[in-house]
Amino acid sequence: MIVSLVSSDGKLYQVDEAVARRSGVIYTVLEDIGNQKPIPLLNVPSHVLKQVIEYCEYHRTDPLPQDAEWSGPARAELVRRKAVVSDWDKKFIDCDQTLLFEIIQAASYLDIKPLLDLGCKTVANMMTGKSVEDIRALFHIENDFTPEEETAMQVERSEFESLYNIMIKSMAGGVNAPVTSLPIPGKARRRLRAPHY
Amino acid sequence: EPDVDVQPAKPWAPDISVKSTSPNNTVAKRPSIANFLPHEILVHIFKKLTSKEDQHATLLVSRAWCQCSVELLWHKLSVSNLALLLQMMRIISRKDQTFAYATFIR
Repeated sequence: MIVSLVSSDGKLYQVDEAVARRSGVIYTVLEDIGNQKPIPLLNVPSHVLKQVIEYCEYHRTDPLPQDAEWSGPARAELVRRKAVVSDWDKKFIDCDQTLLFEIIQAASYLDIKPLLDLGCKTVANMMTGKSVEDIRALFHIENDFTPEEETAMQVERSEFESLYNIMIKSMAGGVNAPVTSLPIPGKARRRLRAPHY
Repeated sequence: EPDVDVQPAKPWAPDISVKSTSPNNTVAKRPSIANFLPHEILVHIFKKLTSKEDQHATLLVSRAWCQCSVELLWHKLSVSNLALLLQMMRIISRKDQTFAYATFIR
C-alpha cells in the first residue's frame, strides 16, 4: 500500500505504508480514516519532509511502540536502540544547524519519537561543556534578559548549585551528614522562622 | 530518567517573548530558529543533558530557556537529609525570587 503525503509547500510524496506508519500522527490517521486521499502535512516543508522520509525508510523495520507485539524482544530492542546511536543515524543527523532544528520540529509534529530523541540528543551534545556565552553564540540566541534579571538568575543558579551539591554529598555520605556544615546567614535564619508569604 | 511531563514555568507575563530593551542584547541580524523552538522541544533537549554544569548553564541563556530548564532542575531534587531540607526552605522562603520554586517540588 502506498500512502500519499503533501508537504506544506504542496509537493506530493508517495511512500510505503510501513514507512509512513513510523509517524504516530500518520499511524493514527490511517487507523481512523484509512488510506483514502493524500495526507496534508501543514507544518513540514518539502526539504524537511524529504529528510524525514529518508530516516523512516531506513528505520522501516524497527519495532513500533504502537505495534501489538510491543513487549518482550521488541521492547528490549527499542531500549537498546535508544541507548546506542548507530553510525547511519550519526551521519544522517550531521547536518546544517537550521535543518537539524527543522527536523526536530517535524519529528515532534509528526510524533516520530526515535527521530526526536536523536535530534535532541545531538543538540544536547553540541552544548556539552560550553559556557552560557558559547551556547548563545553557537545557536545565535538573543540574550533577552534585562541586566537585573540576569544578575538575579546568576544568584539563583549558584544557590541551586549549592543545593545540588548538598544533595550529592548527602547521597554519598549517607543520610546523617552533619547539619552544622550548612551555612545559614542570620537574615535567612530569621526568614526561616517567620516566612512571609 | 523518569519520563515525567514537565511544563515550562511562567514567571514573566506575557508569555510571548517580549522584545526587551536590554542594553546587553547581542542580537543576531536574522534571529536563528533556535530562538523560536517550542517549549516542549527545549524541555526535551534539556532532558538529554547529562552533566549538572550543562544543565545549570541553560538557566542563563535566555528567558525561554530559563523558563524551560528551571522547573526541570527542581523536579529532580530529592530531599534525603535535614541539611538539604533547610537549604531548600531557605531558598523557597525568599520573597524576591524570580520563580515560585515551592510550586515545582513534587
